[in-house]
Amino acid sequence: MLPRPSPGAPRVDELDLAAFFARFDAAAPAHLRLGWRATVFVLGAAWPRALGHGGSFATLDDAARDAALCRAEGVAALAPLLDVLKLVVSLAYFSDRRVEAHFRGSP
Amino acid sequence: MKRVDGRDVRASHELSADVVVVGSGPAGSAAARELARLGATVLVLEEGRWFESGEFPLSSFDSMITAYRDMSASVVVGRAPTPFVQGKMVGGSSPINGAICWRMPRDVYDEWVTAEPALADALPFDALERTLDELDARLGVAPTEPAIAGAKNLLLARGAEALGLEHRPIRRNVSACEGLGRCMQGCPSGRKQSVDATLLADAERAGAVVASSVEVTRVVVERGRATGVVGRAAGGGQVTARARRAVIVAASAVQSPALLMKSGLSRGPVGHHFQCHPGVSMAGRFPEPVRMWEGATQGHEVIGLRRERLKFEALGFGLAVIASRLPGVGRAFSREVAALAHQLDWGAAVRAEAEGRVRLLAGRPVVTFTPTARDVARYRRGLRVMGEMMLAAGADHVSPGVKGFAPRVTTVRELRELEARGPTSPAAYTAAITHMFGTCRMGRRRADSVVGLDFQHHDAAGLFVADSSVFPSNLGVNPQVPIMAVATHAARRALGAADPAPPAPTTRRRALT
Repeated sequence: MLPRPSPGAPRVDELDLAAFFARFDAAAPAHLRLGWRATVFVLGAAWPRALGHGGSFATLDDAARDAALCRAEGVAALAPLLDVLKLVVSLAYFSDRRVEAHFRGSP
Repeated sequence: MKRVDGRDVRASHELSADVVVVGSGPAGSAAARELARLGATVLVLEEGRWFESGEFPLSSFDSMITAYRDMSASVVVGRAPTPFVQGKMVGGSSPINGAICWRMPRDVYDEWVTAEPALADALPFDALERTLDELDARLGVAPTEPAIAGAKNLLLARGAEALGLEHRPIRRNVSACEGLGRCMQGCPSGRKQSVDATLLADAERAGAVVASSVEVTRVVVERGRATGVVGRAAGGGQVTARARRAVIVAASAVQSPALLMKSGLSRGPVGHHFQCHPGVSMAGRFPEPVRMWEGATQGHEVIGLRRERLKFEALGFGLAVIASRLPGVGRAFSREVAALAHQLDWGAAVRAEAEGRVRLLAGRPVVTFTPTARDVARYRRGLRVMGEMMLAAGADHVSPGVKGFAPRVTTVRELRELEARGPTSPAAYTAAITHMFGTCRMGRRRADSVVGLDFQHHDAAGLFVADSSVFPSNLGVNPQVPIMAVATHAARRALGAADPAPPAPTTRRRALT
């Protein structure tokens, strides 16, 4: 669900996301933690199944993931979850100093 | 001892002063400074901790979890749940705001006096003006220099010029700004003249004691008089502070009414009349790199529609927040993030008509607020005007962030369509709330006010409220300096001191002709 890095930017799988989410869980207010968990459950598990996929979001290939997210964007009830998703994944991605340095240094 | 760090207070701790001030934001710091200048001993209690300028983090996330209340994700409840932003540190929101300084708008003051004519004598405009002059000088308020404005501010000037709207560099409390664009995370160079570095520092030099990381949980009222407060230190100890002369509550328009309610002072309209400035933002993508993170965080404003209750500002966020506001999901979102250097955000602050309410739920404040239909119409108008300015300034496309409307817009015709026929539900708009007012409103009558025109609580002698919660309405402009001015006057009232007399007019010898 994380944004695909631009050319030259650190790849998502190079980042220490476990450390980010440990800090997020410790610091986020209850309603934001709840919103994040609801987002992960609905978009990560329930929504792919509602679209007819056999598994969770993590089991889909890139094209299927993109299609699932684009379909979700057209459903009004899922809009708040997509907002939470974009906020948290952006915070996670840019919390890494290498990412911040890459974008600040980009032409 | 001038400072107490509540993180080190693990056992019961007792303090005392002539006046105990709750909160160290613009209101609390200004009140503490004036009290100390007038010779009172002062104790300031602040829930957040001290930050030195070198401690401010680069990343949005680190800033949000250390310097903001609730990770800047506090939310008003209503038809459109909307985040509101408050700092939680010594200095309140002042160290992490955009440093925008306005004076008290005369037209808003006149509205207040029309509703409550006695205010003209209780808080005369010329006395406020003299206080504002002095504050402006102390805070080093000056217009943003073009050399450090950065593209986002200069493009806003270009867009406003193209539409014929009045605009100007923002007056800010920054000294020798380097244009690092990090006001919202805290200035790493210490250039911002936030209240912790100015007014509170003055108060400390005059003998005030600041106790940080101490959350005040109750005002103690004995036989109808406030005698002190009780709080919890972050280290676990209970803090008891005795006030020999007065308690001044200056904890914000959300926290102050909550503290009064927790103290059993619930009579009257405490928590009612919540007003604010909800804002909507417009993202735009430019063909050339504009590098939104460079230049003065908020250095330019468009004021030509202020009488329509709209004001526009360039915005400056950390990279993560900029990214999270971009349109699209999946690969489309990734493409927008990859072009981060080409993206800009401008904001329209709305002087909303709607009123909400602060209530207590399980000991925590809960804010309810729903914009009126006219407020939502202002969202639409604000987005249209921002979009037109962005396109006029050269944007390839703009993204209004309105659910149920085109995610990308390239023509003025579409923007006019948005204003004329955009969604009427506030939930369709991506908004955020700053600047909150009115929840301990001042007035003569107990039935419709919480404090009198002398800022003293109607039901508790010696208890004063000095922040924007006493304002009869929102201002439509950034309120930090008017808040400081009003708090300065409240501090004088708490000590029974008069406002300084105006300087004697200069007499000139008439030339003989």
